[in-house]
Amino acid sequence: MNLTLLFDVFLIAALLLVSWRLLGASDLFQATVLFISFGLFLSLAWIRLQAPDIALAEAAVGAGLAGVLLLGTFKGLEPEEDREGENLSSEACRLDPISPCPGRAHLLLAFTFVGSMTALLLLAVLDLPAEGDGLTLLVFQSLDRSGVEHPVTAVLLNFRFYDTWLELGVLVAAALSILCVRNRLDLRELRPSKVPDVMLRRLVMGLTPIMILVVVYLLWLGDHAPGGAFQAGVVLAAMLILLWFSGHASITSLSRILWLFSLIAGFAMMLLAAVITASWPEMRPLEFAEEWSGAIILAIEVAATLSIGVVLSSLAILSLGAVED
Amino acid sequence: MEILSGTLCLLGAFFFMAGTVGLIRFPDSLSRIHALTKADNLGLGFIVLALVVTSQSLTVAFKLILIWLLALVASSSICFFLARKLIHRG
Repeated sequence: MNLTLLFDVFLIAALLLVSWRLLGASDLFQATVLFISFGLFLSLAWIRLQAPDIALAEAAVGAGLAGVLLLGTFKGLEPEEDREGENLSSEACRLDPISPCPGRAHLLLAFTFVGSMTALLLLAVLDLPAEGDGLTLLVFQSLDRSGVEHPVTAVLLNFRFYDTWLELGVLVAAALSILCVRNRLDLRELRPSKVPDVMLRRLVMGLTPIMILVVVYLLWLGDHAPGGAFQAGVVLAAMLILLWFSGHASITSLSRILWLFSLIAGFAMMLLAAVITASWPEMRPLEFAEEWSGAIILAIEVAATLSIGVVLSSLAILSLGAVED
Repeated sequence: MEILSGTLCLLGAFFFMAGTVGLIRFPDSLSRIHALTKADNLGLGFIVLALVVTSQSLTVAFKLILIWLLALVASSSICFFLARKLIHRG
């Protein structure tokens, strides 16, 4: 038995254990922390599957940002807890399958849904050809016509362009719907719930240049190695949230027009590319000319990074922030 | 070189282990934070050193040391924030 196999077995065992504990956790805070550690284990698993791009995205979005959003939601639940008293609060925060809230019928429905999804997934996996690399060969054959050197970036921003386009659309829709829920038009006037202190301000001030460097580096890296718009965008989002949280100028100080513009920049840039390619005489829609594709992809990536960073940080700030009266 | 790096790795693992034991065994949150941040920073330092010793180029070694310094700054600040929160809570 070699060491890597041993490591994989431990990793799978840890994933199963954490997810089991997560589902059985009695309070929401514990469940949130377990969810974050589940995300970290999952990104380790992606690294073991030799998918560093997904591992980076999972660690940043799945563990980092989703964790922040969940913690923000948890904090939003807390004040009501205090008002209602100790007994009620522990009841309200309990994820207990026996309590009347979910109900037997709901549980049955959930189990049926999850069970059939699992069965479908299993069938799909069994249906895959046992040997062969799928579309990998095709991707590598067309890589030199894509304008970038990294196969994942080539697929995301050239071969399967519209998937990424729609993903950015989903992000914009998420930001708009949380605006509706919070009944707001923009982020202005939103402040962190606690007054930031000197230590945090200084720390963030020191870290910001490093984070800007990392954003640019990740963006540039996407051309030929794991990295790119999503990873860079998440680091940008983290930076904006930290700046906001420590009381510095952040996206909350942007004017409404500027904020909206950066919110939709990525989606709009891709829409523009789609319109131009569709109206060009000798090109098919979403087909980039070889000599232009590198530049087009770079422009889209820059806009997408900005949008992803702004959307994700807006989501976090909208769920964490409070209006000062 | 390999023996040196292996020894450093083991030393790092020992400190990580000590930190984890502290996390599990210590009675209150403040001493738990103390055990975790101090021991783990040292453990990470030894493992980074082990990697520096075996690294092929100077740039890689430099990057590894930068990573360690960044982790040091982050973990000590987080330690401070947690501890202050705990003290304020009483």
